[in-house]
Amino acid sequence: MTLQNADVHVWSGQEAEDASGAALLAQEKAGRRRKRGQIIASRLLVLVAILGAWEISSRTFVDPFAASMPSLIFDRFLEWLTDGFLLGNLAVTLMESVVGFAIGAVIGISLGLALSFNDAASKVCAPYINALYALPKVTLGPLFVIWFGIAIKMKIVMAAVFVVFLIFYNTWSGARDVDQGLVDSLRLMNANKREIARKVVLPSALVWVFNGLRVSFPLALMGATIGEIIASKRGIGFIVTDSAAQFDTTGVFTAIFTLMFVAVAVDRIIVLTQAHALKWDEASSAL
Amino acid sequence: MTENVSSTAPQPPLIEVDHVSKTYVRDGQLTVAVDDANFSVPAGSVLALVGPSGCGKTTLLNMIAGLLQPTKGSVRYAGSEVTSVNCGAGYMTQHDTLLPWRRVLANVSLPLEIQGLDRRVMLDRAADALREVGLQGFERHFPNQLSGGMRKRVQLARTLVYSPETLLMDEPFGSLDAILKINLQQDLLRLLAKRERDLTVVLVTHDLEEAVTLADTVLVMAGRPARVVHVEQLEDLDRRTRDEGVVALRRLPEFSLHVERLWQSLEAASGSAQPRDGDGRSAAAPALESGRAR
Repeated sequence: MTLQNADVHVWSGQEAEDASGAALLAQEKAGRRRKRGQIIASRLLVLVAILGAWEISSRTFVDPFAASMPSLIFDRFLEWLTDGFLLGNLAVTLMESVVGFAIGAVIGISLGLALSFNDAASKVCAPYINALYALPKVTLGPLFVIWFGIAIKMKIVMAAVFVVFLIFYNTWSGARDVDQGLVDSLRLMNANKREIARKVVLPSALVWVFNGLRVSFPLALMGATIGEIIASKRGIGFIVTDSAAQFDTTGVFTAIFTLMFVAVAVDRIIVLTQAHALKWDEASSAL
Repeated sequence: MTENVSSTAPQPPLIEVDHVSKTYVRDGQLTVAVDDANFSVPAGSVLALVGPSGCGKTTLLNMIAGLLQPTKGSVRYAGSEVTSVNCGAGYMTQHDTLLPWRRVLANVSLPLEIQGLDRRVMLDRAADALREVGLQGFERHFPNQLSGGMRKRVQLARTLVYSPETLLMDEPFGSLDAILKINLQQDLLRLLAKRERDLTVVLVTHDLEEAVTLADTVLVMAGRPARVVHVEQLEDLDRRTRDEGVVALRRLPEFSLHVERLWQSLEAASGSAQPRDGDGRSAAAPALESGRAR
């Protein structure tokens, strides 16, 4: 409160010396709102400019057969939306991603925590984990087809494999990054190892875990779609390959944009959950 | 809490630091952090350790807290050797060790939670401790919503909530501005005076004025490796004067005299680091002996 008043006092010193404090606060608030409005307007402007340029060039000198154009994509979007084709396939991809993500998260978090509490095991496993982390996961696709077939199971495994290492890594680093001062302060209160783990290590790793989850959901989508592109009869990845096989670029773009919307929406959900769960953490709640 | 400093009844020392040395091995090299520290702290008194940064004061405090074990010598607490975490002592560390994800009240009640107290009792006592440090009304705040001074108060409340018999403080008000520092010193003195049971305090600081303000005895540590080079007794600073306030206390001529003497001992130690070693020790030892005898 005092800080805010001081701020106002400094920047409005010359311009409004006789204005009352309340008026200054209102003025400051209005200014902030104006700035926010300007940013949103500019964002929309960028979007309109890009779509406009695309539309115009496709109508003039670029072949729409190769590049499609926003108006066609929008029409196709509405068409697929009304006949249920889009939602049906989206549901499949989302189901694969979410289930794979959940499996990967559970395995990653538990493995990360388990290893962080065991220093020797950490050291022994580190090079192997690094090797698996560095491996381009796409190369596992054909193997998974042999093991799990081409049905939904394979895509779920792909999604899980794409996220598990990142989540594991974040959890592991988070749990090892715990402030030793906090641990010592609990030791001084005569806390045992379990209490320290529960009251210090877990909550402090949570920030990292959430960041890991946030970064890795798009990876789950990626894993699921790649699985679908390798072999499938349903899902957004299927729409992409099927449309491309018919040289239907509009269909490809429609699928891509749909996936993008979904990824952004899920990201917002995770961020809001994070802001709520980590209210105490300024960086998390400011996202 | 002043009584035992001037009382004639022989008080057994609560904390005995018996010829303690601590050597670290770092990158294959030996670093002597503390060399042959030898002193004791009578129950109910306030001892300040002063000295330049990195002179092993914190190491010494960590050994009293039982977080570290001495390489040579021993630390005894209430007659028995400290071999693991010393549970009779509340430790207020230099760094902020409030758990950022817990609200203020939950932070203060944490030590009681670990003791397994009933939830109601626990929260009541935590609220009392917060009131004691003047922070009622901030129970539901998160630590990062508080100022540095308020966080220190929360930490003090958390340290006092389970009524430890000893309070170890490492640069408790080090990072605060001068006015806040005086306010907190004032509060701490008031708190110490008001406690029913005498609290023994070991305070590490590099602020000489803080040491003279709060302590009954000041040990000056200096040199590499660090040794106790000087002992300053402050029994002539009347505690009744202290009740009038820290600012009044600082105006006393005796106050300046003590600060001046601490300064001189530090300067002498740093001016001729090597040759004074023998001197410093032999000068310190008798003073300590007399301090203990009182």
